[in-house]
Amino acid sequence: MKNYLIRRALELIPVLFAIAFVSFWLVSKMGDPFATLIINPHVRPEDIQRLRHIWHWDEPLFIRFIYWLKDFIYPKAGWGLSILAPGRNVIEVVKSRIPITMAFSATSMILAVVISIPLGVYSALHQYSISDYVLTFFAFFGMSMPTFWFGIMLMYLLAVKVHWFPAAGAHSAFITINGLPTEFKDAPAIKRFLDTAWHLALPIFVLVVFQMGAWLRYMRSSMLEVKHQDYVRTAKAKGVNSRTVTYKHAFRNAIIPIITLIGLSFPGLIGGAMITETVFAIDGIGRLTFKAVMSQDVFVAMALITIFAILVVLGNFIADILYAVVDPRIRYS
Amino acid sequence: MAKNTYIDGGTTTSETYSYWRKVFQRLRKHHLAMIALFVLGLLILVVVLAKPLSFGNDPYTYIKSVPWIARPELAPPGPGHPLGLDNMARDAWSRILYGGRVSLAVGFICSFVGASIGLFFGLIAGYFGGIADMLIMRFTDFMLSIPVLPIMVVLAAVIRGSLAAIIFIISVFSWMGVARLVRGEVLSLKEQEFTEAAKAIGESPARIMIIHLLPNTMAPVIVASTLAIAGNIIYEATLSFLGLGIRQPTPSWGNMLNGAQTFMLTAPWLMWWPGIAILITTLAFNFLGDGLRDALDPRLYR
Amino acid sequence: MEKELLLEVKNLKTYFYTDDGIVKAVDGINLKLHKSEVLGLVGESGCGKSVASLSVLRLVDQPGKNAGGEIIFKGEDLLKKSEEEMRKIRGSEIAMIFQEPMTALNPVYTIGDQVMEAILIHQDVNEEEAKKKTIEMLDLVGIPDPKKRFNEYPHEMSGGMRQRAMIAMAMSCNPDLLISDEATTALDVTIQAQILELMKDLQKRIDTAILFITHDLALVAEMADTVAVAYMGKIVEYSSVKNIFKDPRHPYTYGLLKSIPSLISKKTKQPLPAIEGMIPSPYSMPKGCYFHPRCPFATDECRKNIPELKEIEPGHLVRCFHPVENTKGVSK
Repeated sequence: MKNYLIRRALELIPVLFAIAFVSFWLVSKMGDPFATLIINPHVRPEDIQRLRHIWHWDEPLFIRFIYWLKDFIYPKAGWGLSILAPGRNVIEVVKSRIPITMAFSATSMILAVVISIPLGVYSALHQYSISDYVLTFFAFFGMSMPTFWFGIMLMYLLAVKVHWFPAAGAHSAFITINGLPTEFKDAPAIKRFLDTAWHLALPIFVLVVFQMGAWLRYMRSSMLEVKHQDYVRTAKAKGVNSRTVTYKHAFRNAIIPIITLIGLSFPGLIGGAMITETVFAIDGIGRLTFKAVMSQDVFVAMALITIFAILVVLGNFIADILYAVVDPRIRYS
Repeated sequence: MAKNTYIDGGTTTSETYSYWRKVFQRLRKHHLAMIALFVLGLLILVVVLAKPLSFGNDPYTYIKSVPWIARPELAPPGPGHPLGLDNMARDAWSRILYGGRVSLAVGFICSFVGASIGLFFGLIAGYFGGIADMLIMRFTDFMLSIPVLPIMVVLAAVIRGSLAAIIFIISVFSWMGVARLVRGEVLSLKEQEFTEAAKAIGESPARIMIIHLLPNTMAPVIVASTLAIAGNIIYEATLSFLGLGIRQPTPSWGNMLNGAQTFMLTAPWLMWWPGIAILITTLAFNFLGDGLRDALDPRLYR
Repeated sequence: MEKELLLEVKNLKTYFYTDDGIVKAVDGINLKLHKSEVLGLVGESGCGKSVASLSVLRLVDQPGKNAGGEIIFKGEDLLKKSEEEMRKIRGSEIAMIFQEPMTALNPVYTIGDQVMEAILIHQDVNEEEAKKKTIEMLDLVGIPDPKKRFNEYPHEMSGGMRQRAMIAMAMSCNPDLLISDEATTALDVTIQAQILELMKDLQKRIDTAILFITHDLALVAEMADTVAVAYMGKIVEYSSVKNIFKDPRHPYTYGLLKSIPSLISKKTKQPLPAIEGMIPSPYSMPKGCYFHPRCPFATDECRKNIPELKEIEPGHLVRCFHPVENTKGVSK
């Protein structure tokens, strides 16, 4: 097992390297990150040349990539130059945006999985009942809904028409404490948390509905398939009561594919986070990616895409490990 | 019942015919899928007849004035313009109709291209095995490890604009599932007698793959492709919504929503219909795909 | 010597209500099984013998449903029992072994856990005693090194070992009736012989009656005291094992026996005869006797009416208008 994991981890390195290089090549095609500096009157052409040299932008693509990779792994000089946030290094810009994205995507994912699993089981156990139809319809709705439009509609209905939720942002600029407006960063932690939760409620809801569709369907069909397996019949034949048959014998098997799929759902979650952040103007790494691409901020885009790729690959890796944990038939050697 | 007993390599036309008739009989009992099929038929009819259904409006024409409001830009619905005018004073209803052509075309074409690439790779990997299999599967894993939407956005920013570019971008990422599916099917079909027999009488690999293996992998591919159409329509809409997809003045359901957030307060009616159109279409494709899965895979049909 | 009657199935009907029509998988079966006796239920696949056995335990899945009849077990009708009463009977008084030891065991629990579960449900023991009993049972069914095997998963064992574990599970509560549904079909011939030997041995030791379901007449000859031959959900012939082999009266039984290579063809050196035609589709059953399309002796009467199961000599029942005569010498 241990050896397998090490070997598997080592295998992931070339995959990551390849993704990073392909992304680097594509991102470089977006434009020259230094060309836009020309419009700044304070920057002389010599300076641009100098910066180009510092960041190895005068080298051929592959060499340039190797230098970039070195900087990405050992960020002594940071991750390059940002256009969106001039004067700040990419690593700081990116780092400051990660927590909020992590917070709301992780929350939405956990909520979606935790809600979907029991509902999916219920749906399978009551196949063709009214509640099964309702849940099925809801699942299809979640899968078919374009997230951005769902987000906009919710924003329009719940934030603009009735002011139950704020329309945009991850938190308020000011929080009222004892009748006095206080700057967000000075407010007590509990207030900050509540304010953030209130702001993130709609985007989290959008992401939860989006993810639940797939989980509900997976869980339902997995459970349905297991329900008719021979070992379930064996369990019944030895006199196990129906609750235990369902939860000990059937569910334990039905959950296996779901658990491994969790690790494989990261690309979808990243896409979903990117869209919801953009719609709800939340300054996380998803929105930053979009902004970076739109303003040809090569270094920022590169850093973010590499981070996403690492997350996806890590997800695959986690899926592998979980598979071995939950399924005794899988023993890696 | 073994999965492939109902169509094996030596099928006669009448056997194949009765197989598909059975599939259709089962599909007919799937009410949601039948409704979906009907809705899709209607949708296709509507976008084909976009011109006569447009009340004489043209999706590209800037309307100079409308009688019921001072400025034609963002005019609310009124006589002759059932969905109002957009921010450039173009008729929203005709843009929905013509936009549907683009969205549906992108969905179908990308799915078809993706399925073709997937079939090609899957057949080769499954049939030849060995190095070819390893290389193709590694490449598939590599593609699956790419964070799709961020890379799509970058790609769209690099090759901006045309319909062909969007179709290319989406297709590039929509073949991996089919490739894996087909490879798995081929691996099991390869062990069956009809493949052995075909090999034994000296048929060429290409012939075996196309005549014997391809038809037997069609069922899961059809299901996956139908579901993929829904996904592809959403990708197109998302990219266009972000301003990186189909470019103005060509209408698509996605790019009609591009400015929707901006005009949410002044013209909320503009953001309803393109979204509803997308939702109905993707729902229909998902229901149809689900029904097809049940109809094509009798093991799950209980 | 008449033994105590353990199980009597009377006119049992189990129908499947599918979208394509009603499938009468079990269509009025009658069976009698005495205490510590072995009854062989024989038929081609699809004749309803598996469904019949599941019906006895009331384990037929949707869309299958009981459509009439009685299952008298120890004097009480199982069909009238509540689900909870049934649950208590399953595994303790009536146990079952299935065809596929591969899929019949739960892949995510150890062999020990699965055998122990039956003991814990039906016997008033604590976990430690149950574990001891489990290891004893594993030893009894001939699993070597049972302490170690207790913690192994099904996939770590061979098919034969898995089937032994299944038998251990079934026998762990000393059932009065064991239903064996093609329990050896999926195994190699040598393993098959070992498992049969084990079943016979345990049957004597625990004094269990066995409902032995198979498509293989040779196995029946070896195992059973009495034989019931099923065709399309009905019993067509019922007799002692000796009688069936010596003097089969139903054309179907006769055909089945003739198609056993070891019994006939060696002597006669003739090509192996098979019963002609195919099993009819369950959705379009033939009118009259279900067997008439394949029967060489069919007459107009057979095409019109369904024959009754009639006792033609003491203990020998046949469902046929024209029972085969002079079949003596068909088998040794």
